[in-house]
Amino acid sequence: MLTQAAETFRSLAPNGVDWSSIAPEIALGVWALYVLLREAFRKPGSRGAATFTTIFLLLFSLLCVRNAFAIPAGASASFFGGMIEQSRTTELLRAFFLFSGFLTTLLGGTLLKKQGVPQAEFDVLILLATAGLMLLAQVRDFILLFVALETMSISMYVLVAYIRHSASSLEAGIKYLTQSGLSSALLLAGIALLFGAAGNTALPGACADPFSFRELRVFIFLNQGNAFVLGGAALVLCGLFFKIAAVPFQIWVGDVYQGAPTPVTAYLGVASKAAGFVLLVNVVTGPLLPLRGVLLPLLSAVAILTILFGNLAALGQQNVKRLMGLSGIAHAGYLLMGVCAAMALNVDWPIVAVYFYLFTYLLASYAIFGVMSVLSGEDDSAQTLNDYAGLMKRDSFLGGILAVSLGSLAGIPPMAGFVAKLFLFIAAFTAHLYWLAAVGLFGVVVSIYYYFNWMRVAVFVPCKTEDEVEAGTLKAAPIASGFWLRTVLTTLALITVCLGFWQGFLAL
Amino acid sequence: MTRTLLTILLSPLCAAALIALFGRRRGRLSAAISVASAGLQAALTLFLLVGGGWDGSTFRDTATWLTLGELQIDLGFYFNQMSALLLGVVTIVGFLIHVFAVGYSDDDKARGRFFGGLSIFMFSMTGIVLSENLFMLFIFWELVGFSSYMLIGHYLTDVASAAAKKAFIVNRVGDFGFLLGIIWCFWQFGTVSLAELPQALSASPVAACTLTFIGLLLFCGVMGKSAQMPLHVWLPDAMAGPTPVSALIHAATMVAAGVYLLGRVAFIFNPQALSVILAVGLATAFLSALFAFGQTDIKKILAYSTLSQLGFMVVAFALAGGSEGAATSQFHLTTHAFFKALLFLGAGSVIHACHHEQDIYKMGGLWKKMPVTFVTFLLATLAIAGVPYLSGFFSKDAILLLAKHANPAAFWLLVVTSFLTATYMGRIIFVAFLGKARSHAVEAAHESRPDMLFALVILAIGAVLAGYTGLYPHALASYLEANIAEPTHAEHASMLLISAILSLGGLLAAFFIYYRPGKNTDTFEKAAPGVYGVLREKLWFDNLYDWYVRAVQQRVANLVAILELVVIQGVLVRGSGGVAGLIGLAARRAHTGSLNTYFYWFAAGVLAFWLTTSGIL
Amino acid sequence: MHAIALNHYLIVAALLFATGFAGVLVRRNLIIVLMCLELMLNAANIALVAFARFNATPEHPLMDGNAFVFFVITVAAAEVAVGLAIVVALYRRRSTVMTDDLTALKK
Repeated sequence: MLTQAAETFRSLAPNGVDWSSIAPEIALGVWALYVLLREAFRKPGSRGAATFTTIFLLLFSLLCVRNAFAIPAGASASFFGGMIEQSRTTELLRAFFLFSGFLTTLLGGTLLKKQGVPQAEFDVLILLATAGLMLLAQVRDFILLFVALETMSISMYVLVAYIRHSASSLEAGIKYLTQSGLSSALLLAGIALLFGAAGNTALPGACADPFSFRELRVFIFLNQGNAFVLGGAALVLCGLFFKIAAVPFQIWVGDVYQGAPTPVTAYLGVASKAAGFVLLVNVVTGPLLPLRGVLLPLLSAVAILTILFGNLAALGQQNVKRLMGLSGIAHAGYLLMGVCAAMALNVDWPIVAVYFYLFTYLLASYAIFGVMSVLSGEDDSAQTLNDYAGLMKRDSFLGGILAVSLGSLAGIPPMAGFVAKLFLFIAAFTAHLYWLAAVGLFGVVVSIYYYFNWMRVAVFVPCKTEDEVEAGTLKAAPIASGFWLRTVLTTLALITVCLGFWQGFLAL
Repeated sequence: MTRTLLTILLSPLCAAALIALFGRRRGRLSAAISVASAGLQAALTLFLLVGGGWDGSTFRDTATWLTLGELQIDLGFYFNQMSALLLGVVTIVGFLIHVFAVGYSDDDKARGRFFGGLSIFMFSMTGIVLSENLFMLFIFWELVGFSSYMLIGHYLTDVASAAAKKAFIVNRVGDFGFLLGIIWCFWQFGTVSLAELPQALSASPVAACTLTFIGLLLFCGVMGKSAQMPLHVWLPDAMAGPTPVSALIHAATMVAAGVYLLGRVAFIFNPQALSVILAVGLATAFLSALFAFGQTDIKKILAYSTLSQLGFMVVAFALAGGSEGAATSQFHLTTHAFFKALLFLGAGSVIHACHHEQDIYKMGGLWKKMPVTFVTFLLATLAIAGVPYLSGFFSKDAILLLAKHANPAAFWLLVVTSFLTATYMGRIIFVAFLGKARSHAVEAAHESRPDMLFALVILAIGAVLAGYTGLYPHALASYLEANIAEPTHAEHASMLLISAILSLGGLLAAFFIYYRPGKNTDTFEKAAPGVYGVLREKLWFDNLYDWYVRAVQQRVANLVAILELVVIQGVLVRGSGGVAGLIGLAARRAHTGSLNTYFYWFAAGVLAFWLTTSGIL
Repeated sequence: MHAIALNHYLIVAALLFATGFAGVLVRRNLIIVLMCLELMLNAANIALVAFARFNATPEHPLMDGNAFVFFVITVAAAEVAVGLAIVVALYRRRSTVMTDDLTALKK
């Protein structure tokens, strides 16, 4: 009976359906359901599944890395009628998202306990969002793109508003939801326009499957002047630029980053942004590549504005979460520089440089957000530079992690961030995008100022209670952080330094 | 060969790692690890130079580090006679200074950090010496800058951290030019490999103007690291660091890295670039020698002396250019490393004995209490003054000879500078070592520990003998002899005479001016307070920079702040009047935190994107 | 008598989309903003269905366009559910659903 059902099921499926190809995503979904059910039937006082979830994500991430290197370089396979395509790169991106999910749950464990909110649902949402992100790494079709993107986004709305008793968390949640919703609507409208144009049999090269990247590329190549195509491309880019927070779709960043719980801020800043870049890369070097002549100036202009806005807005910023968000905008600008170079040169290595940058950004950002989660006080959204005064003295471990990671973000050798920036600048130079590179250099110089200012506060400014500490009347408040968190933060910092010296594995 | 060089390069890095892991609270252990790594470096270098480990030919080995499209960056070694010479200097002088530092730092609480810093420095410096290409060299260049920053600020006082910051910032200025030079070089020739650049240069003729610019940009790095005017201001301040650091980094090796770089890329400098470099070197040599008279801190006098000698090296290079200039400057670099390290260690021995008293007018009569220190210091003084048949005589003579042939004006300026050198060095001897003690701390001084004296004596032998190229290993001797101009017989006699007059005359002058036992004021200051004031203020270079920072940089910063206020606060938030239209409306309320205003950004974005893709905008 | 053609559907879709966008821009009530967002999504849905219907040929049935609409409807429902939940929670704390009052996070 069962075999018969399975047989029927299989016969219904179109060609190329292989559920095992998305087994990791399915596993994540199943695990999420399990955690949810377990939480529902959990006896009060017994342990939740949080630790297992964290370990599960980490192991899965490592498994994906292993798988990635089992796939021969350059090979790729399509599944589900070309909806998804898998290669070593996509497998590594899966690992990237799993790893950031792992880090987020780990930071969540630190912060949520302090805020007195349950962790099980947090983990479930992270699992679902991660599954969406992993699919995004592989999509080659606009339907799945939209669905996976929304899977991620909707989980993210709840995560941003997760601290239900905090007005700022809720405010950030509704702000993110409405703006993200608007961007989704724009993206969807763009997809509809492209679909409408590409399905039109009166036009040359009309597609049988107008959502597929591969077919769209051929169609767009033949219809570069079509108003629907151009408008659709513009709207699709609007939707994607929201995710990477590029000007003029960056305005949400400050408020949402500040209000969201710190681990979610990290997840937004790293994983969601990375997904945006993966999509952007796949779209502009895929279906929209024939429009390069129009899009390259547009992307370059956006990159320039993004770098300028991010850096200038971050100058003088006191709230560290906003600072990370606004400077993150600038990082998106540098990454856009790499995307532009990839478009201009039509080669792959700038894309690898972009992904490498994203990985170094993940390392440094999560380390910093980890420190922030540890230091976060009663009001998670009100973390200012003043809270970091004297950090080096109070806890030189956290201070050291902060120093390495800020150095990496600022692009100081020998941290990984320096090499990653170098790659992007080399890419921009090679592609003759001199203005872009010049603005980028200016931005880097400005960024050194505010990152170092943060460091200066941590090292040189005495903390408020320090006088009393030295007088012996008061002990400095010990900074509590778990053993595993410290281990992971150390690992992140170590990888940051090591990658600064050695990137030979990158087949650029 | 590769393995030997790799061991030389990496052993101090391993030492630094071990110290970072286990030695932070164990001063003795970290000292032992650090000295052992420096010893291993010196031993292996000796094996290469005299033990038959290297046949004297140019050695090159590279491995691909990363490939970026068409750009490929290699890591590797490029080892020729010139690098062998500097490797010898760095490892041997470095080892002796490590040995000295063990005794010097016995009362230092942060000994682990100190020796860790020294080891990182040795790693980076060896990296500079061995680098195969400019890119790799630049990385190590930054690393020595970083370790120098760490070590200058070692004592964590306000003065020390200000000095460390100053050194860091001034060097960044130079390095910025250097980096631009490297990038341009790569652009022009398609390679930054030191071995491939000469061919690339001859294969692709470039405009003289371009070549001059590339040369001068690369020279910017030299100006920062070798403290040439006007970027010299950091070096005297850097004396806030521990004395062994001053000896190792800020006298013998790191500051010489700039001169070494000149020699490494000697082929790139054309006559136009060389004439600029000559002017800079001459100004540095002459003015620093003058400034030395305005100082009373023994280490600062030596710092200005270092500046002046670095000026000599740069001049030596610029006078001839090419391999001749390179060899002459490297020769002076080598002898200078010995006698200047000795001078600093001698000063360190004195400072250590006098409980960190550094003012020479508080010292006096030390020769009786510290005979070994005195004798070695005296030898070094005679060597730097250029007394015939000591090391400084030979190398300085080679420079004077070059100048005499190439540029009479430079020759006379160098002659005067040599005279001044002898005088200000004599001043230290007559004021600090001879005469009577001027303070209690000095009266209670006693000779330093034997291990410190060991380093002094070995360096003293070097300071006496380093000028005799015949004593060098064959490969180095042949390199120096082949490239340094040999004086004719008549010239030889006249140069000998000139040197004797300059050095002994200078010392005599110092005796007449400064030998006033028991008095603790500067004779020269009394006689000509105006001139002395000018010298003490070092022609107001520091004040000028301070003024620049205060008046220009701060104002620009203020201006930016005002712009920020006007643009972001005024125009975007409140400036409703001037800016009309949709964008103005959106921008005006950009930072209100209100959702609707944020949606206007979206509207503007959609509009702009659509117009752009449709080709209207 | 004119048959209703693709263009008519597209004009309706465009008008709906513009209405939604304008509403998002000018309305201050969060619930109305959410409704306007739904309006925009549904405008896109109309366009998708119309394109799928009018561009379809026997060789290219374009059923994907119709199928996509169902996904979008689901997504929109989920989005609005989360949105309303947040609005309710926010109302409990702040006693307001007006965007003008939600400006605690700014600068």
